[in-house]
Amino acid sequence: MASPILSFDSVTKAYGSRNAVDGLCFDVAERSVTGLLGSNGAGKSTTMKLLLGLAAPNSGQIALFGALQGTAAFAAAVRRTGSHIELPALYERATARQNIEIQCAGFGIGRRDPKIDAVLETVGLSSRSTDKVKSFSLGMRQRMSLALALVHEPELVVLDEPINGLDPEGVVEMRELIRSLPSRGMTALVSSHVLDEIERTVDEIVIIREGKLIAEGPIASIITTSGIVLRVPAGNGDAALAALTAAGVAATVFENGEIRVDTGDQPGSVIAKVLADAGVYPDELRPQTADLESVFLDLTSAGEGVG
Amino acid sequence: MFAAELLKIRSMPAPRLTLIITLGLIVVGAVIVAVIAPEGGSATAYYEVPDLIAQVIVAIGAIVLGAWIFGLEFASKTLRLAATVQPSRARLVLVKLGSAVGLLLAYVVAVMAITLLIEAIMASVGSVAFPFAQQLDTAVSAGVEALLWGVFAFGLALLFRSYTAGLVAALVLALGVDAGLQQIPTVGKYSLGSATTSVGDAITGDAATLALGVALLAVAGWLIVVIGAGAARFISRDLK
Repeated sequence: MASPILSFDSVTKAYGSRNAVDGLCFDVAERSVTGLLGSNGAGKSTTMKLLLGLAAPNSGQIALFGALQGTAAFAAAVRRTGSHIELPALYERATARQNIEIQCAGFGIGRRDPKIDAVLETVGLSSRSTDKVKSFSLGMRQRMSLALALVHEPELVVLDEPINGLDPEGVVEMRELIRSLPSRGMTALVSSHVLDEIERTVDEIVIIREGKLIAEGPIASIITTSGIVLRVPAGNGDAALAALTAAGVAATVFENGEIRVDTGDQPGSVIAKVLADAGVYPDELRPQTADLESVFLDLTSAGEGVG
Repeated sequence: MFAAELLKIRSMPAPRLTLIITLGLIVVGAVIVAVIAPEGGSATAYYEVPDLIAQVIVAIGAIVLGAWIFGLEFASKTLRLAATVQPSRARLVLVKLGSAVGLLLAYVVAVMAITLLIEAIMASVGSVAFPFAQQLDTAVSAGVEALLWGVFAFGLALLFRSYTAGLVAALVLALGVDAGLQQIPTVGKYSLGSATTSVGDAITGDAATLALGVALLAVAGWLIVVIGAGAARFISRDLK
């Protein structure tokens, strides 16, 4: 992993008797796109608030650009971030452009700086820049909020549910935008409930449940191949299943005619030989890849009700 | 950070509307007085009544603006945004306080200057003498009192984390409760209203309940307690 620009080390944040974040440890590598996943109430938004200094942890250490939470350097580090947390926070009675100008002024960027027009163009709001934000739809507010997060060109962009309210076209644009951030020198930490979208967007994943880390790593290693999928000619399903079972290989026939085989440590060629010896020649043989949704559901449901 | 606050003041309608409504009410009051004043009436009819109207309205306007400076962030839920632009909460409070004082100062100077002009016109209409120096002292006095109430409203909005709550609490205290507090023996004279009036009286040279130094200390005490408590709450608590 490249050097982390954000580190959580045994961080706990309690609200009353409930730990919203519980001994959480994870790193975010520079110029990566990291997905923060978890069910409702898993602690995603609290985690984001902690790293932005909006909430203080009860214990543990957070290091942002090497600065420890609670120090003056940490406050300076927060200014190197751009964020969109929960619902878009905008000045309703100001125009889109005025909202961005206000944000820019806080970072010493002038009202006529080309960054303002550029970011409005990036989020697709150039034509509505003089409209008051109170007239905007949820999707447009999401775009505005993203513009505020990006306009000062932060090194770390923190986005909580950035595709909420976006139309399909907007979702694709948002995905491409987030994917482009590392090439612009930025790092992104993104949370979303839309796992299919996250799968297409991020490089690394952090999965939390009840405030605890349950998985962390490159998405490719978390979505591992766990077997192979066979498609055999019609009428050969039972013969294939019998041959595999006789060879001690666990297999399941599905209604669509596919046979899913748990290969364990055996290479796919062994499975092909077992079938060939039984006179069954598959039409298709491919690696079975778990999707993020199934991995997420497996991980987040495992251990439920325990302890 | 001051640049961002200045842009908020320029971009949002609340400061402009407050100024326009304030001046509108003062003008309407003056016109009504001009219409109903008897021909050859006294100075009271021509400029002292508008002056009294202005003193009350500028104080209310200052309270509205004072509460608005922080209340805006609470009402629009933009505090998270402001707190990531300026992550030092103590510095954020100071920037906001500075902005509030600057806005209130600009507001009271503008309103009282225009009020003086209206009063001079009214005196001219009624053909009565207009004692400019005396009325200037009165305007400065009213402006200072309004500014102090505005800063107090800023503190209440910060303390209650709400524009509406801060505004209502400040108005209730200024227009009602403070008069009751002043009736309390021994300590009533140190109420915020009594203390600000004493500061104003010192400017106009009128007899005051409290000496200027004591009045200033009493006002400072009120402001430090309210703003200090609000700031302590704001700095120590998580932002939702």
